[in-house]
Amino acid sequence: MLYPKKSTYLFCFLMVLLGLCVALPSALSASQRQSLPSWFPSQTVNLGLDLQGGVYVLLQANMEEAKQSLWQDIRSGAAAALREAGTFPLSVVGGDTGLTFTFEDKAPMEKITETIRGVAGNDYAVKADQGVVRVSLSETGEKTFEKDMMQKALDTLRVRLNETGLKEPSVQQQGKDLINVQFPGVDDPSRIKDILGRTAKLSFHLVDETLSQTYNQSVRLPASKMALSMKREGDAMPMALVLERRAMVTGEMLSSASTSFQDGLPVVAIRFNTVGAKRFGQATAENINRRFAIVLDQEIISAPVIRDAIPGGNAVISGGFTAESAGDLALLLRSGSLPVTLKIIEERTVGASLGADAIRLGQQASLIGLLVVMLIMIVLYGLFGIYVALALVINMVLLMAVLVMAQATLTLPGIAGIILTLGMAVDTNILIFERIREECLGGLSLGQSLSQGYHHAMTTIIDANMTTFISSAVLLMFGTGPIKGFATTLIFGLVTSLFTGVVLTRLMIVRWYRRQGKQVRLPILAPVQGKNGQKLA
Amino acid sequence: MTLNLISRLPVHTQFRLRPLFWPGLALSGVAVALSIVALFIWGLAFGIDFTGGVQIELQTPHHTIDQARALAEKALPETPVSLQAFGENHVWLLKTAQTTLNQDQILAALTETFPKDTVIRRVDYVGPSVGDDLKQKGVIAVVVSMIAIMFYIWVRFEWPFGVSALVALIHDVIITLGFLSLVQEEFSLSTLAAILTIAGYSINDTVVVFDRLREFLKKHQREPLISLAEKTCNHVMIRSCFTGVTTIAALICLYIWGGAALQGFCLAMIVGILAGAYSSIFVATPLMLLLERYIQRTPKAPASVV
Repeated sequence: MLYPKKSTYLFCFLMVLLGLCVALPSALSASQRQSLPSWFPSQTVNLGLDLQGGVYVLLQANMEEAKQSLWQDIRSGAAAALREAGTFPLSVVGGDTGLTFTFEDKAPMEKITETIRGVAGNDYAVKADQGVVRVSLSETGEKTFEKDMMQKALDTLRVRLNETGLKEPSVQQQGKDLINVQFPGVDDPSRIKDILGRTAKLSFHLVDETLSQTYNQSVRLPASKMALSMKREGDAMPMALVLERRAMVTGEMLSSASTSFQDGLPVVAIRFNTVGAKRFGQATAENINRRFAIVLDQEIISAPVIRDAIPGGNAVISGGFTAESAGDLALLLRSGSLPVTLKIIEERTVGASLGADAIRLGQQASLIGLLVVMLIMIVLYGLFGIYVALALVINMVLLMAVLVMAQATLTLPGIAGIILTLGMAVDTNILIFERIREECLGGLSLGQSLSQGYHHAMTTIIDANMTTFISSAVLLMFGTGPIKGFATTLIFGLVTSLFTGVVLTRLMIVRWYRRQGKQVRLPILAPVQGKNGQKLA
Repeated sequence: MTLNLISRLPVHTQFRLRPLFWPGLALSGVAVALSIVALFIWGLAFGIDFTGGVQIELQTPHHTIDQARALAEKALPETPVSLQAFGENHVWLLKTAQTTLNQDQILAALTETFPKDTVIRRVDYVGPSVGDDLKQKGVIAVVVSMIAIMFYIWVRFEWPFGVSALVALIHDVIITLGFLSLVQEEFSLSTLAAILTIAGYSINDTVVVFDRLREFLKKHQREPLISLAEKTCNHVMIRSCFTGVTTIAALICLYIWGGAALQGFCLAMIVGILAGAYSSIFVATPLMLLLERYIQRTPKAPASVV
């Protein structure tokens, strides 16, 4: 230990140099970074939303609702297929978890089961038992369904956000049914929420005028009709209209949507694809002078009267838009509807000024903390303390460099982790130095006590760091966002502290020892024992 | 101030710790009991990370806290709001519990009532399910990390050591929670992080004591355990003190200069570290002595005569 290899020196020197180069850009201002040569590392540390300001939204997908609409689809599909096969179920009961078809006793069960299986597909368990057929999602089927829904939702959100032109939005799945969306640098979340949260399910339905006139809450509508409300400027109460449940055309049949102007007011111009255009043309031709409702997310936007057949597949949605809201709706329609409803369950907005304040305070506290710990060490251990202080500075540089290289995110609790690392890092050195003092007191020569001190302290250092490492790892597993940032800095800090606290200080002390010659005594131990060190000179 | 202060300090302290072990353990027992009582009576002051609700940090340069509170109450007449100072410079933290109003409505009401120069620095909305989920995750995280640490200690030490270390660790966590409950410091996500860090870090001191004790046990097999334990504690005393001092010094710097958002974290960490330093000597060590005595008393298979 007293005679380290040349390669050890070289390795440490290179590590520190590399650390300095990688960490340097993060300490410079943007303009200073510009003037660095192009081969120089330019990456800076990733700042969390709490430090740079921005909006964080956590959305939860409503899987129950998605499944219910899935069962609705299978139900109508199966009914049609059975009708074709010439059998009719006595009853169909649909719950949240599946469908139950009941047939009369003599029904050809095998054929029926086959038909239903054909409609439902492979992901479903179809079980027949004495005239009753149950369809449910198999376990893998349920997983596939949920995964599929989430993937589609994520894709749709990404398309929507890309088109908004916001700076680096990030959309990530979190857990089973959560989506975590982050917008650095944004400080007004309202428009974003509109874009994120809207399902954007568009459909056109014919209005049933006679039922609409007499409709109120207590009226029971036939299954083929539905009542939806229409909100208009100036109306105190939203007006309800009764519509055909079956849509003339839906948003899936759109080929494009864009903002346009009609009579000087912003509108959304839409264009149907071939199928949509044909259906829309036919439906309008058959229902001249009737009203149809344009429904977006279970709400009627407008209900114009059909004056003429509209064959070309072009239509216009008007309804008191501003230029921005028309643009957003066009964007939503272009990107398609979300397969599941997303609900905002957590939302955090940090103003840019607060983030800047947090960085400033964090820098200030880290710097003062560093100085205070350095001072304590120097006062305590003199020359050896200066070595530790130097190692601490290198520790901070390396920690920064590791954060940059790993592209970890530095958060406000992460800064706390850095400062905590500062305080904890010197523990390694205190353990070593106390051990060296002990070995020297025990009668070992200076060289022996140095080498034995480092050697014996190692077990304890590893044990002590291990427990901290374990709890940080648990934090990393269970924590979210800012807390993950804390755990990351703490773990990286443990590693860099071991390197600087053990390897670097050892090299420095060994250098000192070999320069001094063998006769020198240990500076951190009183020369004469038992006299309270008074003879220190 | 003299540099190299350490050379004036003895390598080993010479405290008569033996008579203090049992009263120290008893004191800890009382402190833990009081902490549990405090937790039962007052509970933890969970912040909106856990309770859900809306929290808005705003700055009104020309208002006192009472004026700001009056404005907030005027803006949201039907919602129970609380407003407290958050750091300096007229920054207030406004909180509402779960209400029928959503965050945008609350913000709109506030911007209408408060003067133009008000700066809204931060808005947090946490839904009710999120908070419950977090509480659950937090408890799981604390339990998992304790089990993991216990497992590690178990592998590294014999069982009486492992059990004592674990009890000391639980002691540190309970004392910290009890303190947070007593002063009703807000329990936020970063406080939870502090608790978990304490679980990993406060046990360091115990590990250092036990590591050394294990070494002594090998060297001095004839000496009674209690005198070895006393010796060990004296041997690690200087290290425990100064490690505690540097870590707490760094945390105090963070408390004073790091901004209001991290003060709860610092407070919890400081209490946890103090508890950890104390418990390594006055909880883990006497407990280990008790357990060893218990083992000695229980009849074993006759040991082979050396």
